[in-house]
Amino acid sequence: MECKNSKDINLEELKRQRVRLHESSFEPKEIYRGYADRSLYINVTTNEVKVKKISNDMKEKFTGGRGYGMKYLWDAVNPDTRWDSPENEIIIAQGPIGGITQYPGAGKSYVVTISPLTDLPVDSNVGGFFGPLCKFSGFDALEIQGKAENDVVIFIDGDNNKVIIEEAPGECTNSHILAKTLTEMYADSEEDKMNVSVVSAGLGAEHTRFGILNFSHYDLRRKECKLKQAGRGGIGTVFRNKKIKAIVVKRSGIKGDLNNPHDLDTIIKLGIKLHREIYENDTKQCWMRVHGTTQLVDAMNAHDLLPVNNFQYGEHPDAPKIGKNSFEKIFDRSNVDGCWYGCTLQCAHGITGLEIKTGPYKGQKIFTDGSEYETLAGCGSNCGIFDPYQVSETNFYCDTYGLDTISFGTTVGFVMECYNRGIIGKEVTQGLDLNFGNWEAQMELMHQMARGEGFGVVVGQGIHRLKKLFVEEYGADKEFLHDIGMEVKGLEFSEYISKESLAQQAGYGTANKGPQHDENWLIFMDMVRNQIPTFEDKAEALFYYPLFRTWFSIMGLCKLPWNDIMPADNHLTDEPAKVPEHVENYIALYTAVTGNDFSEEEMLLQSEKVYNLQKVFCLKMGKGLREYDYIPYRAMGPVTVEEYESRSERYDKHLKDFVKIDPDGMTVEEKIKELRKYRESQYQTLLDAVYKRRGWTKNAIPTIERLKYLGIDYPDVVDVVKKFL
Amino acid sequence: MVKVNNKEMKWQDNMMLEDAIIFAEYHEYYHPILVVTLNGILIKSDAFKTTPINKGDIIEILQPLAGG
Repeated sequence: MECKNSKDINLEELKRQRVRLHESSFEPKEIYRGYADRSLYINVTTNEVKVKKISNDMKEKFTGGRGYGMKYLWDAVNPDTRWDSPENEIIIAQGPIGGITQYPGAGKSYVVTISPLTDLPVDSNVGGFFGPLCKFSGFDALEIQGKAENDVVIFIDGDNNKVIIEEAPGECTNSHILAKTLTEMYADSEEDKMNVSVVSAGLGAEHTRFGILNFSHYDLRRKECKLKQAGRGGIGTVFRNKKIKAIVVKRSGIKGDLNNPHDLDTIIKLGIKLHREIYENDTKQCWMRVHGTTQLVDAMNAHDLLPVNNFQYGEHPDAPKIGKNSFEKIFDRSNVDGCWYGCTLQCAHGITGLEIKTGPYKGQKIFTDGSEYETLAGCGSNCGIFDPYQVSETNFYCDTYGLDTISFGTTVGFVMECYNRGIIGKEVTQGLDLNFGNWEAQMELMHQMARGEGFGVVVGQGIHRLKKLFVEEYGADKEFLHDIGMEVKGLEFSEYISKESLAQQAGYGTANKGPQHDENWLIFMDMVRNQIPTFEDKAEALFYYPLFRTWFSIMGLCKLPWNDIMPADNHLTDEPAKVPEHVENYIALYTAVTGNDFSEEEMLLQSEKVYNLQKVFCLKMGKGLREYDYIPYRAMGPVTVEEYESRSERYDKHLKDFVKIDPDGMTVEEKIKELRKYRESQYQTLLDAVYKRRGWTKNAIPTIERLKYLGIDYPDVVDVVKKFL
Repeated sequence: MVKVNNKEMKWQDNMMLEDAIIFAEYHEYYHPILVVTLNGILIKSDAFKTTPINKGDIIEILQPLAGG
C-alpha cells in the first residue's frame, strides 16, 4: 500500500523486507580530464553487473552524455524493439564538462531510451546531483537493461565501490516520499544526505505512456528532497516497466577538481566572470533568481504565443494570474534554490507549505518545487486553468506520480477540446465534466492515472493513440482530430504557439525525438524580430541551433547560462542571438577540462555526429522519413472559424500580403482553406531547405557522403540508410 | 512618478518609453528580444523611441527565455 506521509516510514522495517540479489565490487577509478573512460552496465533480469571500457572511437565520435546514450542504445536494440522489450535500455550519462563546480550549469545528465509514446530513441535532460555523483563514482554512463521480476532498488556506492541490487517490496513508489526515504536510508548523517541522490518515477508512470524520472538532491536548510525531472518521452514508464523502484547513488568528498582538469585556473576564471555577470545583470535581464521561468508566461501572453485551450489561442486576460507577479508572492525565497554546486543562475524555486486539496495527500502542507513555464502553460492556460495554487498542486502531483507535465497538459487540453465540441461525452469520460477550466476534473484524471483506473488510464496513452481511439470507437472526424491533436511522431508538443513562426514549426517538426523545443527555440528571432526572413536564413538557423544545443547534451551542461544571461555589451556583437562571448567561454572550458584544442567548428562537428546518429536511429526504428516531420495544422494556422475570427485582421492581412488574395467577399471557411494551402506549402518548402542544409536527401535521409564526412559511416549505420536511398 | 519593473522613476515632460528602458538599465539589444508593456499593453520595439509615457504609468520589461 502506498504510504501517505514520510513521517510514517519505518526504515528498519523496510530494510528487513529487502532481499539481496546482487552485490559486487568495482575497481575505483579517478576521472581524468573529464572522463572515466568506462561505463557501468546493469541487467535487472539476470542481475549481471559489469564495468565496460569505453573505446577511443566511441569517445571521439560520440563525446558523452546524449552521444553515449544514443550509441549504447543503438547497439542494444533492433528495429522490432519496443519500449517494453527487455533489450530496451535506459542510459544515464553526463559528459566531460559535467560535474565541475566553478561554472554554472554543470549538473545535467542526459537520459536515453526507446520511448513508449514514439517507439523512437528519446533523450531528456535533467539537472541536479545524480549525474555528477555517478560520474565521480567512476562512470561516464550508466546502462540499465532487462526487466526485474519484482521491484528492485539499485544502489551504486561510490564511497565503497560497490553495486548492490535488492528487491524492495516495502518502499512507496511516489517520488516525494520515496526520495526522502531512500536519502535517509543511505545517508550516514544529516550532512551526508547531500551526497545521496535518488532516481525514481511514481505510480502515474506505471499506468501511462508519459512517465518521468525524478532525480533528487537534498536541501539541507529545508530538510527536504528537491526533485529535478527527465521529463519528456516516457522514460519513467520504461523504468517502472523494468520494475525498478529506484536507483540510488552515494558519493562523498565532492571537490572542485574531481574531473582532474587540464587547466583548473582557467575554469575558475571563467566561472568567476560568469558569476559576476549573473550577479550584475540578472535583474536587468532575466530575473531568473527572482522569477525563474514564470515570467515567460507574461512574455508569451504579451506576444500571443501562450497556448490557451488546446493551442486554439495565444493569450488570455487571466494569464498574469499564473505569471511572475503571482509566483513572486508564492515562492519561498528564504532559501537559495540551486541545482548542482556552483550554479548561481538559480533558476529553480520552491514553494513551502502548499496545502494540498485533492488526492491521497489532501490536507497536507507540503514542500514542492515551483512550476516552470511549461507546466504553467501546459497544465494551466492550455487547459483554461489560471489559479496559481491549483497549477502548483498539479505540478506537485505530476512530479510525485512521475508524469510529464507537458504531455499531461497538452493531452488533457486535447481531450477537453474534444469534450467541449461533443466529440466525446460523459459516457466516454466516465462521468468527468472535462470542460476547459475544470481543475477538479483535471486532477481526478491524474489521480486515476496513479490508481490505474478509469478514463485517466485511457488519457494516459497520449494524443496519438487517443486520436485513433476516438475515430475508431466514437466516430470522430479523423481529419479534424489530426488537425487539433498536438503531437508529432507520438510526442506531445511543448507549450508555444508556433502558428506565426515558420521556423519554429519546422523546429518542432524536424526535431528527432518529437516536438520539444530544446532543439530549437526560434519564435522570437523569426516572428518578432524578423531576423531570419528567407528560407535559407531559417534553414541556417535550423542547422546551427539544434547542433549548438546538442552540444550541451553531450557535455553534461545546462543551456540556460548560455543565453538566459548575457554580457552587458552583447548587443554590440555581430550575432547577439548566439551570445558570442559565452560561446568562447564554452570553447575555453572544453579545452580547460580536456586539454584538447577546440573551436566553434569542432563544437558543431561533435554535435553533428550525435545528431545524425540519432536521425539514422529514427530511420532504423521506422519513423525517420519526411512524412514523420509533418505537423498538425493547428501548429501552422487557424483550424476553426473561431480561431480565424479571433485574429481575423492578422489573417486577412496575411492573405492580402503573402497569398496575394483579396479576402473581401470570402467566407471564413474559404479564407481558412486558402491560408492553409499557402502555409502548408511554405512548410514543405522550408523542409526542403532544411534537409539540404543538413546534408540530407529530400526525404530526410542523411546521405552516405554526409555520414562519411562525419566519420559515423559504420557498416550497420550505412545499412540502415541504404534501405531508404 | 512612473513605475518601471516595480521601481519608481521620476517623470518628466516629453519622456518616451525608451527612457524607461534606459532607467531599468536595459538596452534594446541587451538581449535580442525585450517584451515591454505600458499599462498592460504590449508596445513593439520600433515604437520605443516614439511612445510617450505619462505620470502614473506602469511599465514592465520582460525577458523571454526558452521554457524550462
